[in-house]
Amino acid sequence: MANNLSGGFKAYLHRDLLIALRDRGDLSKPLMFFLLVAVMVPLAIAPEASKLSAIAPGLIWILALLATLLSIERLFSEDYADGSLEQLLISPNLLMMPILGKITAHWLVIGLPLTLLSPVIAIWFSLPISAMVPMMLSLALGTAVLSLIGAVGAALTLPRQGGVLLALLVMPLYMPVLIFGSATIQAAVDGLNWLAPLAMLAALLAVAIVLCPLAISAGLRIAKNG
Amino acid sequence: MYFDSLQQLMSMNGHGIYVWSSFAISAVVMIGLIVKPLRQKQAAMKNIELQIKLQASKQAAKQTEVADAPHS
Amino acid sequence: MNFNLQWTWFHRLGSPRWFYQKTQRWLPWLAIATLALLVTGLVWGLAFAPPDAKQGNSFRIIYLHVPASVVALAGYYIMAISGAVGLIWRIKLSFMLMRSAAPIGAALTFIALVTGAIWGKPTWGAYWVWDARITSMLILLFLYFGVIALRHTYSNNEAADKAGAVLSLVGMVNVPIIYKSVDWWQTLHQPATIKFTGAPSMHPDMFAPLVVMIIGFYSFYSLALILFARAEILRREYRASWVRQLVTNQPAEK
Repeated sequence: MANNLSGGFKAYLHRDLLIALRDRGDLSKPLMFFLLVAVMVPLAIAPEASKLSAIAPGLIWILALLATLLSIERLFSEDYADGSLEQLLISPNLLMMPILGKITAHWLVIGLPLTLLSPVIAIWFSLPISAMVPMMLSLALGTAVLSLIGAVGAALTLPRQGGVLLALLVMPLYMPVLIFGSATIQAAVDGLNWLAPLAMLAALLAVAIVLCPLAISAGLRIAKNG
Repeated sequence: MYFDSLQQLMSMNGHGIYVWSSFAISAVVMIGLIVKPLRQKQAAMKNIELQIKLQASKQAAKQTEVADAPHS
Repeated sequence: MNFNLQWTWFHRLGSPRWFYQKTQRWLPWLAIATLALLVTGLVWGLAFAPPDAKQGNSFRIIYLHVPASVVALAGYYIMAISGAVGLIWRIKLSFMLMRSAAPIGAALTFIALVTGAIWGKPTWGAYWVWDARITSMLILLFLYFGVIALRHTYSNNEAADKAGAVLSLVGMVNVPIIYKSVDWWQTLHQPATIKFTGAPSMHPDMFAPLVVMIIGFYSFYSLALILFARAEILRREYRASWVRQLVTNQPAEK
């Protein structure tokens, strides 16, 4: 049984990673978006380092949030279109593990690259080097929560293919992540204790890992009949 | 009453505009919350009535068809 | 035997017909009680209660703002819990209540936001301040919008009900987290602005009308919820024979 459970996780993780790596063009789009919007900010506001570094902690988080949101829609829609989701739903195994596998794959493909790219934006916006590590840690944990919550929205909006509705459903739920994520970076910039907000992000992740798969599997079953 | 006159109650030392506009907006929204379901109910009732009539006329048409059948 | 007896009320409670006929009798009384409570509370609060020492008469907006906020927040829980009851026991009526609760909750949240903004002008000198409570209310409004918007995307009523229930449950878990995190965020950024008068520190002469208004708003909420649910029942149960009888017997009833 235990083997079966982890097997579902591994199989779907592997499968989704393969699919993602096969069309790398799609893979890089959210990352390009992340960088492009960042370029717009100095042009729209001001190129002064003091102004940019003041808004950078929040901005990096808003960008990460939008990039995740852009990509989460496709988490289930392709499986839904080609019928493999149906197969997953009628299989006797628990849905949790395949779902967690798919979400882990999504995080590896979106959240992790965003985290690794974020120092570029930090340098563009003249964030102090000392804030890099807290920023990357907060993004690594936070984007995982964003993927989990986003997947709930993706499952519920499956019959209509997500879109603006998905953003409307999910964004209010993203607020705590946004608050604690940008607070982590801000605290590091100000030389304060950044472990506290980071710990809150970790707590959110723990809660999300337990509860989101429940909502996602319920949502997928409903969407199948909707 | 705390206020000496109706005029004072309306003006509330310059704060009247804030208090009374909040009151007016809340009243409009809350009346809307009562009126809307009543209208929905009326619309639903009409819809059902229409359906019953439609069914009745369909049935009548069927019956005349059956009655007409031997003639043709 | 005993078991059966105990559960019949539960199933009757879940029957739209039973609900429709019972509430027919309750409605006039509930409407009178609501009106009496709201009028008493408002006249008391607006004309008789003493003004706040710092905020003067603008403080009287509390008699609309606080009850609307309290009931709007409770309304989200009412919506989510009726959704959960519907999911667990497969009760149609419960889903109808959930659907009815969404627009009422959104409207009350809207009232809380608008009155809060108007109150902000004389208190803080600006219509909008990113105060923790107002920010949380704004997020709550978007949570309500999400539930309403999700409904319209499903063509199948049953699936729409279930999806709405799942979303409101997810929201219900999130609401306290959102409130706490926004609170925390606020202490981080805005130390000590003038707070809207909180209940515990209030003078009894100011507090009593507030209690009347809160009860009045709850009563108003139940009234609106019942009215919306009755319309929903007629819309969905149009095939049921008792609904048809209702329409043909008394077409004058409006």
